[in-house]
Amino acid sequence: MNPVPDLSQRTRRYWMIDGLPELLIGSIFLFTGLAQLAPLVAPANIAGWANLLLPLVLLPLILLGRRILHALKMRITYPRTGYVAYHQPPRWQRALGGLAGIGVGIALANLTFNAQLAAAMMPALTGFTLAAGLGYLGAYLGMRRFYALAAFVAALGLLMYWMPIDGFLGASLVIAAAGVWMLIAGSVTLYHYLQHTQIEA
Amino acid sequence: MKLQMHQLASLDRLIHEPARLMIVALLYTVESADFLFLQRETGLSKGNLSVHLAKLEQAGYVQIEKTYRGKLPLTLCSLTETGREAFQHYRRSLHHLVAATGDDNERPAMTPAPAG
Repeated sequence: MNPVPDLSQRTRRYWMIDGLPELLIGSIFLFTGLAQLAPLVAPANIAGWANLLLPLVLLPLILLGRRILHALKMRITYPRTGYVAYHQPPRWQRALGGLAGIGVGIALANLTFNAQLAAAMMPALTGFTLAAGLGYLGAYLGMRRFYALAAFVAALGLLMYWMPIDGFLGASLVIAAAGVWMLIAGSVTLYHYLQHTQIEA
Repeated sequence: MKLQMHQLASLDRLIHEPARLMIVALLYTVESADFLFLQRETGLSKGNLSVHLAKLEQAGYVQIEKTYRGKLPLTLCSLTETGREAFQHYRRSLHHLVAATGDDNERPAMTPAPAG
């Protein structure tokens, strides 16, 4: 009945219109999965070095991601369909979100290192944590394809849990698979966007 | 009933016009948006959008800033505090008015008059 919340969701969804954010998030997921996988599959003499992959590859990607995305949008999106600046959430809200993220990270790490059972449960835990985040994103943006991805990672997490493989290997595969899904979805969206829009004179 | 009729007459006509209502409603949901985005979302022509934006700017509801993002020239539009309050007031008034008209199901049934 009240059109403003729908309109808010519509304008928020505009951020995803070009598929570029999905490509960035997908890259982060894929690199995280592969970097976690590397020490597990690397020969013993270089496994120690493989541990460095995660901070070396991921940190720059996370730190520079926003700038790269902005630069790409400046060249691709803004000249085609326009520029929008969104309301920034208040500081306390951002701080609360950060604290919640750290809390989930610590809880997962605690489970991983302290409980024998948790290692085996890692794929399912990773799948459900990712699914919760993706489900929230889907509701926030009103985008059904995030619900589909959430269902996929939750199901894949459970599948990896039932399969007779190492828990960390399974969790890494879940994260990498979510990344591949997002890269494919982002590429299709970007292709479709470029096909249907042109730079305004 | 008299009060609701009075509310109808006091609706902000500047916002009530459909094209301007689209512009203000869009700007209400964001910090700022450029001309191209507004044009695409509202489906208005450049000339039409310019005229409506000028009226809203004149009333102090919208702030228009010509700027650059890198090498890209942008005409950034945003709602002023006055515009934001005016839209909130407009929404409240319209909501009360629509609520006061009642539900469609409450409409009295058309029953034939008793014979004789």
